[in-house]
Amino acid sequence: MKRKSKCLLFSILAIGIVTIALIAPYITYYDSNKQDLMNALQPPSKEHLFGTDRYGRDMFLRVLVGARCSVFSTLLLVFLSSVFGTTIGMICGYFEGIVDTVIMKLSDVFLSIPGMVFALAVAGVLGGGIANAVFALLLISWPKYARLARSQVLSEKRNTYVDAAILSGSNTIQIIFIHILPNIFGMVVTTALLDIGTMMMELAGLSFLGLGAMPPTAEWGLMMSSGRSMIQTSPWVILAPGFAIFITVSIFNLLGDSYRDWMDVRHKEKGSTSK
Amino acid sequence: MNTILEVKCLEKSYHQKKAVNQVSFQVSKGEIVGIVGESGSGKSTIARMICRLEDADQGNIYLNGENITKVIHKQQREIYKHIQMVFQNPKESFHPKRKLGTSILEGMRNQKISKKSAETRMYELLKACELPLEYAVRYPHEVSIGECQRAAIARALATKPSIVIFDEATSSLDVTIQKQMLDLLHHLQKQDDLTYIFISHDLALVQQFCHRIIIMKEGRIVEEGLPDKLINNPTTTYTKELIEAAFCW
Ligand SMILES: Nc1ncnc2c1ncn2[C@@H]1O[C@H](COP(=O)(O)OP(=O)(O)OP(=O)(O)O)[C@@H](O)[C@H]1O
Ligand SMILES: [Mg+2]
Repeated sequence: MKRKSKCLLFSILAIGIVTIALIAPYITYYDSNKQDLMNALQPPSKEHLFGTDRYGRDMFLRVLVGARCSVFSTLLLVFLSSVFGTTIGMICGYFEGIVDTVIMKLSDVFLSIPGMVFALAVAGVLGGGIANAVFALLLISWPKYARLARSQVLSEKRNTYVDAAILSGSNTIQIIFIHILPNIFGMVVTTALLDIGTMMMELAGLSFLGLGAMPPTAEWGLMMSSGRSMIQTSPWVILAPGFAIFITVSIFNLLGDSYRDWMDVRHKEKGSTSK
Repeated sequence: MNTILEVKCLEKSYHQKKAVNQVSFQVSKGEIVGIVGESGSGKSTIARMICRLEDADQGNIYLNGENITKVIHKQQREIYKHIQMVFQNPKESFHPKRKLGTSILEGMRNQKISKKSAETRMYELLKACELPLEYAVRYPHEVSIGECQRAAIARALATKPSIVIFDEATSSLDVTIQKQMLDLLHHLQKQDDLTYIFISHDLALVQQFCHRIIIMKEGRIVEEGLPDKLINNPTTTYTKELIEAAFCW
């Protein structure tokens, strides 16, 4: 029960962040991209909670608004790569054979290239922009899910309940997605939750290197990047988005951890037959 | 008697080792055929090939005269209207995250039987299998093994098959429950004129329950005949050994 409430707490925090990301652009009363050069590089004050950047834009506002780009592109990325990877992996694991061999070799190739370098290359070729950065990271992140789902399906499909489902006249799609998927879903969700932090960092990293979001978009990695020359004179410019990344990544990682713990306990309690 | 299932020269190898070797037999409508043999003699493999859960390397299987050895997709699903199987471990044969009722309904729903009539039939079956009706909303881990096996029988009978294969279906149950289960199976068999293939390694049990016995060893049929005849004058030493093992107490 304690684990459940822990998981619940972090879910609420995570939902809080998502909510902020969702509504921030609507509750702010002035444009987060509006420049006010008279007020450039103001230190944190009552009026500007996190100070202002070199164009006089309110950092607090930009961090809030930046949540939308950073959080949503990360969630979208993790969602797409887990859905895509899991689907591919499940199909490979269920059918095995030649297609499986080819796809798994391909995913080996993707896994053997250092992820960030590959993403840099892809984003470099496609050019900047948050969509391209998401695509680049998608290419390197799906194989992890494919491997996981494949190995899970390989062991899961030997269970008698799958034979029973076949005898009930279920077709292959029903067996993979209605019978087997629920039994590996928890594992996929745990991996995805733990992946959110990493992906957010990598996405911010690409933006930091100028291959993700484009100015003047408020995005945390990009904000850190454009503030890096002022780290000594006006550290708040880089600290504010850095702090936002830190908090968000921590919350999602803790959520992933507590979810995994909770799943473990539930698994044991049920004495589930699936190994 | 009219043959409902015929198996001809069936073969299956795993890792170059023959698990089933040149097996042929026929089953008539309404018959209860027992298959007995030591562990690893290929009984389950035969059952799985008949149900198309495993591909046969060689030989043919005929259901009502139709060759079903290689059917796939739609035709494969079609044979499950006629053949069903009950597995050894009832709890593992149910999806751990689904209610028993959902699993029982599934076969009927896949045959596009309306939800209402499927549910009516499910409750009939639960009653026939002597299970309380509220077990439909229980999960496999919430019932005993014996109850779970009754639910498995209900599931197998749901789509009104003519042949039911029991692969060690009573082995995981204790003796009194086993007896009740066999009585139930007998009753259901008479009621619907079902055909059973009853796989077991317990010769004593098979002798009481079956009309005919097939004895297997190392993938081959070594002897076949009526229970009493077979047990009173076995022709092979292997059968003698099995009889001694079964009746020594
Ligand atoms: N999937 C498989 N992969 C490899 N070998 C297998 C497989 N299934 C069965 N075998 C082998 O085939 C042989 C026959 O197995 P089978 O399960 O049919 O025996 P059985 O008569 O049902 O035994 P038991 O009474 O223990 O259930 C055994 O030697 C077994 O090791
Ligand atoms: Mg067996």
